[in-house]
Amino acid sequence: MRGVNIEKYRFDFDLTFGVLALNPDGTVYHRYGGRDSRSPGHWTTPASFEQMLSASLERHQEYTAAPSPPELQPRLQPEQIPAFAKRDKGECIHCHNVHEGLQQEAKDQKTWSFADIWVHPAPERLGLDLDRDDQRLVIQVQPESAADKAGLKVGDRLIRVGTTTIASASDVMHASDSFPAAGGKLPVAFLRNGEAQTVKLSLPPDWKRSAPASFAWRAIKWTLDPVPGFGGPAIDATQRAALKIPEGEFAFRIQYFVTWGPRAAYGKRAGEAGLRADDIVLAVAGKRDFESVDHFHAWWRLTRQAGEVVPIHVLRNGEPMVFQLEVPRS
Amino acid sequence: MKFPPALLGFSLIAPLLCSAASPQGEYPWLGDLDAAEALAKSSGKPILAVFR
Repeated sequence: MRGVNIEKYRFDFDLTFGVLALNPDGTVYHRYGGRDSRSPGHWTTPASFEQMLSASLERHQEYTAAPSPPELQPRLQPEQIPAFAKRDKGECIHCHNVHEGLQQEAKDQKTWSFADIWVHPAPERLGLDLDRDDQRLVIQVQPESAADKAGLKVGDRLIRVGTTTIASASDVMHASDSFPAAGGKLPVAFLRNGEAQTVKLSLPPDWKRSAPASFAWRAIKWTLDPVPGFGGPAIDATQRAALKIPEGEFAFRIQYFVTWGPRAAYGKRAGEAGLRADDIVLAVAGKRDFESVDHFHAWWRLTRQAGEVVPIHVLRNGEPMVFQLEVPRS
Repeated sequence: MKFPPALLGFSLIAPLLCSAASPQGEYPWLGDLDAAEALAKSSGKPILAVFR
């Protein structure tokens, strides 16, 4: 991302694959890609990409007949973000590094709030799921969600969310990102039986906040406190069989303690609590339904509080043990 | 899938996409975003910017 004007080419920097179709004057026709907790490539399919390309070319034709260039912010490159520049060693700048740099800059400027991490909310935050190949098409409406209460139904085809014209799930996520986290009435235009309709979704305060499992894929989670102070890989099938841990049950092997940098106190506290390398973690605060090690790390950072005592259930040499870990105050 | 030649491609992974998406070279992928913008302005084509 070095050298890229991130004021103009702004997208969900946590992602693995993102596309902007735009006029060189900065008008974005459509977005594509993004990521989903279900899989890194959930929103990337050839059919949906082709649909986005076609929609972009149609919009380009319309736009060139009556252009209205947006007011752009001054050029900003990732390496110019002061918080990033301080750590810049001239290495490759990944997309997620940009997000981390922006968040760190906000922290340094004392303008950061925890709500800043809820960027580019997935369609599920509106109560919707969309078809992977035809990403305007609603294939699920969560009962009692904002979408449900507004009257959206399976089979509806999105036209606009807020002021964003939709050709992809990424467009929906951009529209959601642009809408205030404090909530409000979000207009959604859609086609039903060939007829265009509009409803307003009533979004409650903090509506962008997602569950730890949905947040777990984001690289930005690693920057949040508190941290467990230990971690390691999920156990493999051989280890699982040897330890008689049924398939599907969460388990990971402690491979490291954070003994370096500003978070060393967390690792030290985990060691003092009695945890050891090679312990197999089975449950944390009674919770055993982690979907992955990433989910465990996201859950800890989003739900644990300083001063709280967290019971950790482990296997050590095949014997079940429990340790009480008090989360340090940073 | 055929990529529309009416678009200009920019990608940080341009060589990879260039070979995968445009075997005949009919779809110009550029690795320099400023160059892509300049070419887009002169050609009247929109940009397809790919990041990963």
